[in-house]
Amino acid sequence: MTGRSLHDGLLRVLTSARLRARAAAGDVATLSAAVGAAEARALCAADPARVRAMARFLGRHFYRERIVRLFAAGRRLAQETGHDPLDVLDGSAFASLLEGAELGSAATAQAVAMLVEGELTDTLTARPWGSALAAYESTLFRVEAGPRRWTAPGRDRVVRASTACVMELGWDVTRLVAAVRRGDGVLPEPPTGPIRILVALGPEGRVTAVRASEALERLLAALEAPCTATSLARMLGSDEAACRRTIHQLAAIGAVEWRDA
Amino acid sequence: MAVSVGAFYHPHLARETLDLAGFIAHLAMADPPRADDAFFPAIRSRFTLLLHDFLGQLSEPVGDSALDRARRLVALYDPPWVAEHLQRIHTTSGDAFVDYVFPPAYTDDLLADYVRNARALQAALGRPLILEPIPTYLRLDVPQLDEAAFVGRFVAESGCGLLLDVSHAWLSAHYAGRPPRDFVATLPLERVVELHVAGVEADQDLDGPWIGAAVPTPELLDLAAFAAERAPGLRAVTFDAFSSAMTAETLRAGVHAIRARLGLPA
Repeated sequence: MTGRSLHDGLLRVLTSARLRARAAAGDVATLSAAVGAAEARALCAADPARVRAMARFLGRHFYRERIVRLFAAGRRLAQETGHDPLDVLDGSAFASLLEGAELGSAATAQAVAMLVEGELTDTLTARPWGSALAAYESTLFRVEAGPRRWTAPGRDRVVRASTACVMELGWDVTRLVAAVRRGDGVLPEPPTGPIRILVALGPEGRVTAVRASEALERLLAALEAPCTATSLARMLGSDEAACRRTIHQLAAIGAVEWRDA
Repeated sequence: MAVSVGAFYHPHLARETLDLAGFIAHLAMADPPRADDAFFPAIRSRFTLLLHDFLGQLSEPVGDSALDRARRLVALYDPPWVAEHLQRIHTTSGDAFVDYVFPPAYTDDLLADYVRNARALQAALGRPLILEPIPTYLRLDVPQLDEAAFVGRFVAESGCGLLLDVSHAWLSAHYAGRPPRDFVATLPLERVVELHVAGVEADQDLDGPWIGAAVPTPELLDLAAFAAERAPGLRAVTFDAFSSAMTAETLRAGVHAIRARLGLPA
């Protein structure tokens, strides 16, 4: 056992309710499969109260920070009616969700997003674009609170990132969200859509949303399987240099990923 | 050398921050400025900016894209030094992550990794690198150094400076059941370049105190003064409160409290 392997195991236990339950039960055998035998023994011997407390703390912080940042517009409008969706963090539904949370998983991100979105949709019901705003911010949240990659392994072939998604909205709420993030005093009324938006998770772990044109969607569809810039340009019948520029822009926001050949 | 007193840059308080130029001498940048931050050019021209962003987890080598980003931030801010946390927030493979400051295990193998990667980052950026230890709440019962010994060996072997967050040190001491001054005295204070000072607040999950975006209490200010008196290389003291809910009043009060207790008038 090294300090690295032990710490990897500790992070896994802190972010996984399933593994934490095994550690608390002293189930070295099951935990060993996930973190290694010596690591499992050390983690089973850790103070279970502090492990649980730190896990709850990290989980609450993880989702709180993203709700504040990614549901900023919905929160601001809800607060005008005396509600704050952030209050879900103090409720019993979130408390029980936190006990079973798998931090950074798509499932837990979805569950938390649904709690907040439900609260927002109820609060914004008087606004015709309220549900579009809740859906948009919920998508940003789910993408950023879900699984992520920390490394860019290769440079030869490119593929659509699993976190990249295109959504359609009946109202263009993007300018409203941007205005809230700037801290504008007067907010624009969202125009009617429909609009299509590409939501992607950048290499640094931040979510980005850009307008999805037909050409962009065609390119993403062509990247469902890894390919080189040369073959992609040929497939789309476009200029290779322009194709490369687009790929680099998409890689910068995390919509596509590089792979080794 | 004069000691600068500053705070973190809060874009939503940019106008008020500009009004406090001089009283606030430097700004620590936790995030890059937004493209639509109309105040940033003025902020940049009137304050010394300190790079305090997430550059990478130094138990691993900083990758090419992260290094490119760090170089762009250095070029943008022109900071006198670069700060990073002595933390470990994701597994080696990146499959589990906490996205919040969390200390490493204080073992020899991880120490060697941090030393090697910090040296490489410092060389790549061409600026002094200072590292900020994270409070120890959860300690595993395995052979390892204590936090102060790990930090001491890290700065000695890497050539990096120390960013001592007084609240962090207070919390480590609190959760280890030690007097805070005794703990701080064991840290390599001769390597301190910057102090962070803020408050602590009760946390519902930890059932005890934790880092808070609050004005430091007299006890924490006293501990900051204790450290500052023993830190001959100290260059800056930063009110370490960073929150989207930060108010101009708290910003002003935090910096004022630090200036008053440490005897550093504007």
